[in-house]
Amino acid sequence: MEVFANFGLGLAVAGTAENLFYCFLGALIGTLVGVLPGLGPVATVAMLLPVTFHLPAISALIMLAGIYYGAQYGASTTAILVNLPGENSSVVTCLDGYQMARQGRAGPALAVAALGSLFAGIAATFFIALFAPPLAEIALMFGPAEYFSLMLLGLVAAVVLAQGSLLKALAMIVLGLLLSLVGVDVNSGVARMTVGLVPLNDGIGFVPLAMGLFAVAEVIRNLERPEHRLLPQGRITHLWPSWDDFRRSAPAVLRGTSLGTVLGLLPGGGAMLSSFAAYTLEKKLSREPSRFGQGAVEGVAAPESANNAGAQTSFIPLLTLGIPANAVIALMAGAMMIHGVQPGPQVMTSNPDLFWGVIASMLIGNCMLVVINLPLIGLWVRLLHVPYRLFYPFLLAICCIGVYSLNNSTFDVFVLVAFGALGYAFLKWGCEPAPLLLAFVLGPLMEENVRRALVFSRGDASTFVARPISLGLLLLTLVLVLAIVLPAVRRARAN
Amino acid sequence: MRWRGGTDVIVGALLIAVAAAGYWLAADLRIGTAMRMGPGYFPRLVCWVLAGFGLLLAARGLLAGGPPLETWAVRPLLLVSAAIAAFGLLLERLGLVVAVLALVALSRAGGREGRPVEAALLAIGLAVFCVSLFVWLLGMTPPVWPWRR
Amino acid sequence: MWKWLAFAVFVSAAGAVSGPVAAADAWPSKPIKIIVPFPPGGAADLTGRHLQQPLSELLGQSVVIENKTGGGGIVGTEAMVRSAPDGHTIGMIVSTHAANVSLHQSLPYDSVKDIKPITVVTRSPNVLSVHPSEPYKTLAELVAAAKAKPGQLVLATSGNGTAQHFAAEHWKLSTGIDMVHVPYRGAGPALNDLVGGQVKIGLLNVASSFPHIQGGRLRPLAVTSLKRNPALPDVPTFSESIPDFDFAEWFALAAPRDTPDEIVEKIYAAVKKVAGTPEFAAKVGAAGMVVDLQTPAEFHGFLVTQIDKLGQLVKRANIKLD
Repeated sequence: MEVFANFGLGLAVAGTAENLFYCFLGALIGTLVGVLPGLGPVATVAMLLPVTFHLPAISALIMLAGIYYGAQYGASTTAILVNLPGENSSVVTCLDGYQMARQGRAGPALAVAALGSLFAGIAATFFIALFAPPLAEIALMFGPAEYFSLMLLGLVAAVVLAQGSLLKALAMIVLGLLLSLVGVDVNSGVARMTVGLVPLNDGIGFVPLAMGLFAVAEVIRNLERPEHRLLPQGRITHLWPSWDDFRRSAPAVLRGTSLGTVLGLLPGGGAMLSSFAAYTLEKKLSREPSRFGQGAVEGVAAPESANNAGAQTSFIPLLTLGIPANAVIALMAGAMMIHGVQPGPQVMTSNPDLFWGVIASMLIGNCMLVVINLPLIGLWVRLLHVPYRLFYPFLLAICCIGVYSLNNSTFDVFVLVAFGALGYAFLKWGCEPAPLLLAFVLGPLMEENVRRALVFSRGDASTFVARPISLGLLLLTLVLVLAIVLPAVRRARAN
Repeated sequence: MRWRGGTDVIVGALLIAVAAAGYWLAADLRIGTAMRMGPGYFPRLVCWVLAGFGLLLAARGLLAGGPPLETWAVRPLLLVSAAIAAFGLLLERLGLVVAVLALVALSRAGGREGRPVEAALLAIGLAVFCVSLFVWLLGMTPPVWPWRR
Repeated sequence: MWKWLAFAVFVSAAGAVSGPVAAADAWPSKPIKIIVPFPPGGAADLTGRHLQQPLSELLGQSVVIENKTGGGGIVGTEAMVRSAPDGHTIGMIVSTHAANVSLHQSLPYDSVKDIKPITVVTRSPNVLSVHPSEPYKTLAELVAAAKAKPGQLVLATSGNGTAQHFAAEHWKLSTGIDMVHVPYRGAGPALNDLVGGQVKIGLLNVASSFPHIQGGRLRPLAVTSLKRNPALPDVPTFSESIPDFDFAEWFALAAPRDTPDEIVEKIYAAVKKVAGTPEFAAKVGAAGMVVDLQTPAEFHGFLVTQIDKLGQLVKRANIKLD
């Protein structure tokens, strides 16, 4: 029952008036900044990091965690409302969320996202509180071979994201891989395909790429016809989810939460895979997969809950091992060091108030997030009534500043131009950007790990099947390939 | 433009071109072997596969016919791109205010609404909003005005 | 459209009264910007952020940090060298600045001539450690094992061209051993594999290795500094067996080339005052760094030696980013 005692300590720490205030403030500011187009969680946390310097360590971390969840939820809001993924995990939310918004169901989409996230957040927090130390060991079991197999699985899953031609989706995946190879190769240190541009050494930025392909392309397309509202039909059928929405979402939320909780534990790519994986799973399990991409509520519920569950559990490698799982968590690690706490396995014993306080604040923060966001849904939806001619210059301006703020460099703004134009071409050619984006994110990790695994095994490729976790992931990949190929073959035979 | 190949042929051909360009850019990189990959191994592999898919796509378009080409709206494409590019060019030279004004002016020119007074008010409002939010509240440090850098 | 642009320029010109022109003798006459060419939360950023508050209190002007990232620090440093040389824009440069000279065919600036050195502020030492399942208890045992199995042992570092990589290459050259170098994207991912036993040997910074050493998940064999590390008093230094073995990451301040000497001296004096306090040492110490102040002249000499030393190492070890 030590867990309850610990959790009680955490609640006592996080529940002081001061820390409740910072938790609320963080979630509020995070939401308000994260909802600005182009400012995803990384940009938001990085920008607000200095604000927390003057606070005591625990309050600062609690506030930053609140900013993180708030920004993540804010990013989902823009994904749903204006087809703008502020971070890699909200790419899939765009697929069905934006379609729902176009059909006048932005309210239900936002509400389902909020409630799904709340459930996922609470479930993942309890999971963390109960099993944090053993969970950390899972991350350590993943070596390069396992990561390669996981990335391969993710890449195959990218095919499922596609709605149209299978061949085009495959081509987009490979194109995404090629784009991801631009920049300095980690294994050899050599700059590849950078055409002599120094800023490209770090690779093409994900945010300008994604915002160009999705948001800027969408603006250009909307300007084709004189349209006066964001909403094509100019009407909103209802603000809250219907009973049918709940019935469809509930199992999706449960599955998304479980997937996100597990994948979020893996440093380097786990958390971002979770939303893709959850979407793929729902589409494969669904009796009507054709509804996906046309505004299926499960297509919002599953990735959003997976996303939030993953966001919670991605704290585990940091709090228990001192290993940051992704860019946002790396910023948290920086914040801990600024406050004189070296992240590592000793945190749990040397700073139990901080460890359990942060975990308890996850619970409180998720509740506050819903309290903040449910009333805001009406406001966001009303934003869709703003005449488009007033809205799109605003969208473009905030996008540009958001992109600039990532590195304080105008180079990324020009990347945004290039991918905006390319995204418009993709719309015209019927090429879908989502598989490209997933491959773009997974590509470098996949190459890096396959090469590292082969160095470790001294060039013996059997390492991928000799290691049980890797073998399991490869078998899963095979099952997924069959699940994709067999219906296609059957259809061809029926014709 | 209505011909049998449609977009599939265009996309296929472009993919082959991109693959060729990628291959050329990666030409100097050491290849290594499958078991000891050099930095050039993966790029070349990806380029070959990309060219393969491009070829398949083009062939499918030629043989089976693909979806027809859609017309492009050139005006918004060029002006929205120009608006963002202008922002990028002006931000560090003339400051945030001028960059936002130029962005609004160009992007509004990309639509067909006209209404110059409304656009001017929008531009000024947005400039004020961006400066107060990003510079004063969020503490970003880009140049704001053309002078006093 | 052109009318619009003209209008835009007019509005912004009319929008405010022009500010006072900065005079060189009245430094600091406006806020001071420190360009940090690495992202927030990293060691370079931490050093800058801990200077920020006390510096602005001392100078009576606000000090802002701008993280201008990209290209392994080159983008931010380029922006710094191109800024107005009036002492109101300075930049942080770190150990990779000295390595970039030999690792890149061309840089957009001259790494020595285009900057005005101010001072080194902090250093972050490194440690070679092994997974506890390995039999090696001392550096000598590991060297013997590597000699017995040339090209078989694998060593992880936090990346190509980092201080850790250079330390590893220098060690290999000095002892004549052959080990496979596996670079990672920073210390975090490398630690994950090292603590998990996927790779058995790693050369990483003390700050991130220390908690695992304390917890018994890593066995430290040697530190890369000249003196033993106060946090790891029982761990010998490389220099005890290899003379002058000294590889640390360092974090320094520099200004654009034409910044007047008297302003540089003023900045140095201010930084010296601020970074010399026990509070500052404690703050950076929490992130595993030690304060190491140098005068502008000393720093200039240090930078030139570093560039030379790393350049020779790149040639001798045949480190090429192939």
